[in-house]
Amino acid sequence: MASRVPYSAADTLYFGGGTPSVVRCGLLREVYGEIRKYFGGDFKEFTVEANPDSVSKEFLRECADMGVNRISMGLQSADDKVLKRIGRVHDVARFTVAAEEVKKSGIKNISSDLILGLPGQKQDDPENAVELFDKLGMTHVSVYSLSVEKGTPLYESGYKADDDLQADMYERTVEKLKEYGYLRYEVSNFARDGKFAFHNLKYWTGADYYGFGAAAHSLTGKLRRENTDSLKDYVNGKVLKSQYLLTAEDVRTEYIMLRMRTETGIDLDDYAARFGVSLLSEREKEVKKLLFAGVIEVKDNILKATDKGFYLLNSVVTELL
Amino acid sequence: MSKQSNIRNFCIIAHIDHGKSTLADRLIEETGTLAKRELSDQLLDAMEIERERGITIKLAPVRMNFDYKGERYILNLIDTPGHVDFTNEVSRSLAACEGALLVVDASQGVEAQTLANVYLAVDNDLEILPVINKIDLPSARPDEVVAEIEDVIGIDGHSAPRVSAKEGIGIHEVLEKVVDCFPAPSGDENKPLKALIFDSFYDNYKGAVCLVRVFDGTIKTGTRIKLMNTGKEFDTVEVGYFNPKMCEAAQLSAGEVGYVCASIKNVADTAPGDTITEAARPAEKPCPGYKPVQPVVYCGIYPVDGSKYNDLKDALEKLKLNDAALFYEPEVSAALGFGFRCGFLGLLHMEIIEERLEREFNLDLITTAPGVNYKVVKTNGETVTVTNPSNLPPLSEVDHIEEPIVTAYIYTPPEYIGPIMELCQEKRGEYLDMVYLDKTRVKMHYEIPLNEIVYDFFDGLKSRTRGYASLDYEIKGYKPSDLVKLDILLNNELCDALSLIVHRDKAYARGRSIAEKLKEVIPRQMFEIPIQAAVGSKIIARETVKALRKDVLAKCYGGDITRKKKLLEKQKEGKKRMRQVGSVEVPSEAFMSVLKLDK
Repeated sequence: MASRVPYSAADTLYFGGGTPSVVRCGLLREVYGEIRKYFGGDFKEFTVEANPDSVSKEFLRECADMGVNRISMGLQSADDKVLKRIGRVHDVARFTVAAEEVKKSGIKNISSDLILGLPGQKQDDPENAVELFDKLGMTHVSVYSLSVEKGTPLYESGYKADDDLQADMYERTVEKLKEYGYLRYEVSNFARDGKFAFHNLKYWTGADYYGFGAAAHSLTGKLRRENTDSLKDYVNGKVLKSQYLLTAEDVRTEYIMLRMRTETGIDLDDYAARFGVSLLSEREKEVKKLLFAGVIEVKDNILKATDKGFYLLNSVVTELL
Repeated sequence: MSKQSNIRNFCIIAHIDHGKSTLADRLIEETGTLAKRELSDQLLDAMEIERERGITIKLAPVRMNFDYKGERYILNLIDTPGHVDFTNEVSRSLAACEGALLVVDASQGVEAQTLANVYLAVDNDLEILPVINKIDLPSARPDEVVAEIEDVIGIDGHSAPRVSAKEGIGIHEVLEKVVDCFPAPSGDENKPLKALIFDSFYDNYKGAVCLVRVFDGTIKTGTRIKLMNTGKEFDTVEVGYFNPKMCEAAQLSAGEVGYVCASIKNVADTAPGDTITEAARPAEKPCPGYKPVQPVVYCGIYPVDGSKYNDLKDALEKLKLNDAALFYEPEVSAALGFGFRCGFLGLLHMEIIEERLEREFNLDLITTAPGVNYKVVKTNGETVTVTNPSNLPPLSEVDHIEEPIVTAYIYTPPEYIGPIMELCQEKRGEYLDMVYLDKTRVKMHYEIPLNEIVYDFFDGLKSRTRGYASLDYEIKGYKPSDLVKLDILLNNELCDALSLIVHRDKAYARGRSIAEKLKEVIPRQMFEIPIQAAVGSKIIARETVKALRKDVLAKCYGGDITRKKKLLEKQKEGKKRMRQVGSVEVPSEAFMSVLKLDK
């Protein structure tokens, strides 16, 4: 299967979308060995996802040996009661220990996350989490709003996150993060000292990427591919679930939807150069409305979401599409 | 040609779900007019909506042959619509008959609504034969119902056939009684042609098809006919009857019921109640009772999807072909775009048209609040008619406004007199008098502004009388009234489609309830939306839709862009169904939700 992937040099590598820290020792290295054959070994950012409860010395040693230079390890909440309520195995103490061990292994670039709107979560929980991240020297933080998916125990329990409460939390969290030097560069992502998630940036800027494994996604040129969700099918070589070529309209839609998620927003000159039209004149009425609502700003030929607009991105983007 | 003595023309009067259609089906089946397998249930109610609602709007006469005592009889069954909006059509079809079967449910007894039609039949000199239906039900109490019929209506109920149309019991006896009890027609074939149009419909190939009862003379292919009320002339192309499909005949003569086609392009030229005569040898006088159709209730109809305007136009054109009473003209609303102002005989007629547009033509519609025809007398003495509140001249130019008033008869058991009086008072009704029809039935007589009837009166009557009361009304005339235009502003912009003309005393309450309702149905948007109700420049109610705070996709990494893109595209699609009122997005449902306001 790998032989069908055309060779092309890659400069970021990400092991995740699952829990790489739980697989048997040595397996990650085997996978990495295969990847090097086709994509070279010069990854300026090499991230592995890990769970606080399964970060072991062996795992960290294997990571360090491969050249992993970034670990992404979720916290979600700084309140043990909340963590228990949502079925997490780790608590704050375990997370702290795991983070220290990662640093001891020599990997200094650590990303974590927190979730807004969890059941039982107090208003100041995200802010406590930010303080903890600072104390542990995290370089990167992702902030997500809880979305209750059908079929999950939380959904079955009838729990609904309160939008207004989440919005309040988001505002306060963004403030707090800024205070501690974590600056927003995408609606959910905050980096300190320029330690952006370069890999993820590729998703948001329309760069090519290859995804391997069940349910992974790829973009090569204008071809988007999605692998089968079934591990069994994947192992048996039935890899592809679907693929399609982006139309000109898709490209434009994705450009607007992804760029607007970023702090850099849409460079109107770049937009005009790519699509041959001026976004401002094409969407004059809508832009006016968005300006009136105070959710976007246009400055130095850059159109971007305001603080208020970031948490209303769907409304903003659907006006611009 | 049939001897008049062997013809019986009759109709069936029944309360809703007392089994009129089922009985009609059984009669058709029993006479062998159609075999059972050819009968789809309730054949006479041809339209889907009629069948679903169990009501009949369109009349469909059926000719049945019945052999009895060695003679062959022709029985023409003329179905009648069962609603106040169509009273005109009911009385036309009654005028075409000599007899009426009064179907009464053996467990429920005589119902108020039935009475109105029974009296109409009596007024038309029809012989009335009661039929006790549903005797198979365990709750049937036929003896009591017979007594009730004698008490309430004052006709002999002892010879009434006791039947179960559903089970096919007693059907033959009904047919025998039709022959024995109902008089034969007694027209004169040699007199000039005189045929009453009691209905018409449009056929793609034949044009307007008139359903007629011939009283005098004969009509056949080639006869040059004249419509006595409109004066228009046509050449007869085809005559025939229904068995129940259209069946061409050589001629129709005195006493017979059938159809006439004369290459008439427009059903509006074949209004029920008009009289067909021979152009060369006209009858002296037309049949009595012709009333030109006049819409009394109006509303705006708009496609949810603005690009469907032409589809809506085509659909209205098609419905109009078949419905002379439907009126429409194009109008433009700032909020709703291009649509039509439509006029109807009444609320049921309006609902039926709306449903047919949606169902038969697959259109998604926005309808504005039903209104009536106002006469606005301007300060310069000029009088203008206004059906759309947006067309009301500026207040400075208005001397006074007059509104249509109806004479309303409400039939009810006496225990609901109090609640009904309260309702009528709330609705600005003026009490005239009240008559006890018997111990259990009262007829209340009021004058009420039509404007109040179209707003929620039926629902109010139903809920206050547990459905026992019924209403019958007709337009009486116009009266000056203290009417004002109630406007709704969204984010300080007027939403024309929500404007209403109301009585000054009602403006405050209406304004407040509309504002409250809109607050519920307008989704939160990127900014706060004030909803205001105003009379002139005075704000009389205000609500606020708070600004939306959160509308964002959860994490967008892992490279699954497709799903997010689809979600956004779907959200954008949803937006298209919204109406823009200034900068505010208003869901289509909002325009309709204000039509049904809770108390």
